[in-house]
Amino acid sequence: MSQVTATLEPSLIRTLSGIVGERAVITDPERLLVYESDGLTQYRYPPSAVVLPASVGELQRVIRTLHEADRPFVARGAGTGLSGGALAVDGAVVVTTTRMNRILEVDVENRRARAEPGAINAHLTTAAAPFGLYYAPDPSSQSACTLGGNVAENSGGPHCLKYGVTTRYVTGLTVVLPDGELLRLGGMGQETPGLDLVGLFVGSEGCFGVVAEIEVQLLPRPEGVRTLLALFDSLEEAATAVSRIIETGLLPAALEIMDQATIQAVEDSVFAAGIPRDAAAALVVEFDGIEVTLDAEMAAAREICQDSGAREVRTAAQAEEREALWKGRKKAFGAMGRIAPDLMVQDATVPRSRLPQVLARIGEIGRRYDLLVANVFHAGDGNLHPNLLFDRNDPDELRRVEEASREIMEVCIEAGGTITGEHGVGLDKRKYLPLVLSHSVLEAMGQVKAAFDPDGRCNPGKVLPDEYLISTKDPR
Amino acid sequence: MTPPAADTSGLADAVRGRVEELLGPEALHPPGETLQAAASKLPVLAVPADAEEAAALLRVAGEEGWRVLPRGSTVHAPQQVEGFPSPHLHLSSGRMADILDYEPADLTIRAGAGVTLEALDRILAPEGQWLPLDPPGGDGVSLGGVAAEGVAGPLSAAFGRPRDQLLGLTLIDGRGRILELGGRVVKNVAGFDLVRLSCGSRGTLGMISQLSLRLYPRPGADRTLLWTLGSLDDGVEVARSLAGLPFIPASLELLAGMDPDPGSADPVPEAVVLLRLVGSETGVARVERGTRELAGSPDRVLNGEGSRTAAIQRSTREGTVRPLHRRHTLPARIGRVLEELEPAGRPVAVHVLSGTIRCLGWTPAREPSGAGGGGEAASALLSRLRRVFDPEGILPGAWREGWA
Repeated sequence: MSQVTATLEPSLIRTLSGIVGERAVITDPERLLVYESDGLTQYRYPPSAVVLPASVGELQRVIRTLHEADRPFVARGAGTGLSGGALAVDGAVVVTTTRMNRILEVDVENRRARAEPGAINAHLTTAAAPFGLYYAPDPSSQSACTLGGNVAENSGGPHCLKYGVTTRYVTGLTVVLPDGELLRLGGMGQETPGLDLVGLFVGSEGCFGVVAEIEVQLLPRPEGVRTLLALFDSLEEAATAVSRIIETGLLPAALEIMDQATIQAVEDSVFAAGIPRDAAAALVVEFDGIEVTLDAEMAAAREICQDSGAREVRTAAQAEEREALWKGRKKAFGAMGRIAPDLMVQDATVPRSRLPQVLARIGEIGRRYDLLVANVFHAGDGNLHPNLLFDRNDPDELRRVEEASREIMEVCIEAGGTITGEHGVGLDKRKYLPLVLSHSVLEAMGQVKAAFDPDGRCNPGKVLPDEYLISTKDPR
Repeated sequence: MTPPAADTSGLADAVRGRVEELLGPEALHPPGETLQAAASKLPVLAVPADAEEAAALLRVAGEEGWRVLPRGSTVHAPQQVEGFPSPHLHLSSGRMADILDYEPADLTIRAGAGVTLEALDRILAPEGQWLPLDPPGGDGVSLGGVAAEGVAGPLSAAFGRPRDQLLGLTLIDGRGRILELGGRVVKNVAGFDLVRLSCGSRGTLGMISQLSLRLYPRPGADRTLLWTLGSLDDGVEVARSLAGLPFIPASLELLAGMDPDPGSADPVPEAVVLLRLVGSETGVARVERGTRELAGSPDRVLNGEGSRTAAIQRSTREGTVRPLHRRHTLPARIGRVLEELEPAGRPVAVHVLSGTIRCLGWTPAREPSGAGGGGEAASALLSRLRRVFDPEGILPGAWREGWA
């Protein structure tokens, strides 16, 4: 799916170049190709231009200029998003924050940090590490994805089971509204009367404005960590072990499952973690916290895994083993590139107790549509990632992927779940949103969007189905 | 958007008559002593049985121009913004007090907005689970009130604020729309986060009729360590050193001129620092040892139920004493802000890790520096957002603490 490139008036290009410098405005069609897609590669929307501001002031002037020129725009971080949220629909101008990539402050005593939106997630933890602190949300793409993108998507990650997702840690935001107005929202130690605009802005997928600066809470690094790997002969057994661990009252930092297709992809890649290729499922259980409590928790989890049918339970004795295991888990999406040219990374959440039944039904859907489904997911949160492998040049396979995706969503909703746990709605899941939200809720969301963006120029064509997007004028 | 004229008893009768006509007399004569007592003080108190009834009332209110104040289970009388005329109709969630869905294996629960924290805990305790929320007002406050108020207690240090435990809620807005927001799963980014927008909106967007909440394993050990200090300055010093612990405690409080354990007969100390630890016995004992290096041996230790009960009593007091003045600052600036407030022996409660300072029963002479504000653009945005949910301006809200 793609669109032809729109063009920008020379006078507008000159104005933008005057703000950010000529080299920071890209209009050359070949260089624009980099920005026509994001982590969801089956869609392609070439932007009319890409602008790279280097400061809050430049960002604000760029957005004000686009407002005055009545041009649609989309903010973009590293472009690692998996729902098509950063695609330049309607020939939008892409405003990339990658030059605004500084960690501005690590405030050790108050355990908080401030950063520019283009700062890379993992760099924040690196900056905080010398002080015994870290930033908890850890999306799998954390070595590349930006904090601004994390705010837009309300990103999760494996360790969100215990620590919660991005929104829990964002204490303040500076944002540029679609008309170029600069707003400071929240902030630790600030009086915050009125509505929770920080909470509303986080997860708004770039539809309300552009994040210019982020304040987050940091946590003290846990005293100890223990990681266990349990191997199962069926995916359902692994899922049952997860339910039992939660039910028992244990609260691991992470509970992650990889199925056989994923294990094999990882083991065939440079991220091989030494997981037996014939295992039907690998469950990673990690505990962190006070050192003296960890062995008892590990023993309890080990016993539950064994009782649930694990054929083998290993402990990552060394830090290197633990790191290899996590690298394999976090790079699993990339490793799947070896199996098929294209990958539809799905994302849905179900109540944890329903995992075994839902996984069985997803397996059945894959078989019925003759598609390879590779599951790698945050089992402790009930957050599934059934990944469909395909070749986009095969129209019939593409059709089957679309149909199977919809059925998987329906199964998750039927189980009491939702259509996206952490990747966002973006462009890709707009069509599914009415499956989980009522007409009234979608209508209210459209009205809230219009309260921020009355002209409908800010990240057009995202999140809400067209009929719920209100605009005082049609975007060009 | 023009607010209706001041209330008259004639209008109150008309409102009462219309509510009775719409929903029957039971919507005006709720069962339960507390509600009856509250009803006698209010112009009209309606107690709709469900979201549909609340929606019908809000639609009529919009048509008639009645001002409506949603409220919780009436533990506290709502306080309003000064200068606002009193509402014509109070909407209570007192009859929406059922547990709707509880699957312990999912660590989530769906409950009516009128369920109190105490009632919820009676359901959760036998399953070895809890909801770690301790908002001002104690455990008699209703879940709907906790969500609408959005105010955190000391436990937010470890577990987050009410907004962090809310997975979903049903909001009946000023248009009379029933908005089922969020969901029942722990990770959900389907659409904009109107759950967080509703949390802390204090009745200005609508009435909350039910909520889905995230639960936690109930800790095996619950311990509060108390250090009694001779002055507030000494208390600030001890609190500051304990804030540097390389662990996250359940809560860290500094009290001045207040009894840390209202159930005991001990004299009220000048200042006291309380560190609450929850978790496994091994873990709690380990952190307890760590605190001795930073602050010396505690003067008192409350264990198990004693630790829990004293915490509830403290939050009850924080929610009921009037006037209540609240300030926020960075944890490292607490000492300086306290100096500016000049408490001079008057009661102060500080949640150290969130930088929340509450002046209980007195008003500071001077405004401390550093108070934030969003400016005109923020005000304009807030107005636009409120109009989305309340275009007729029938929901003035309760912009002060104590509505729970």
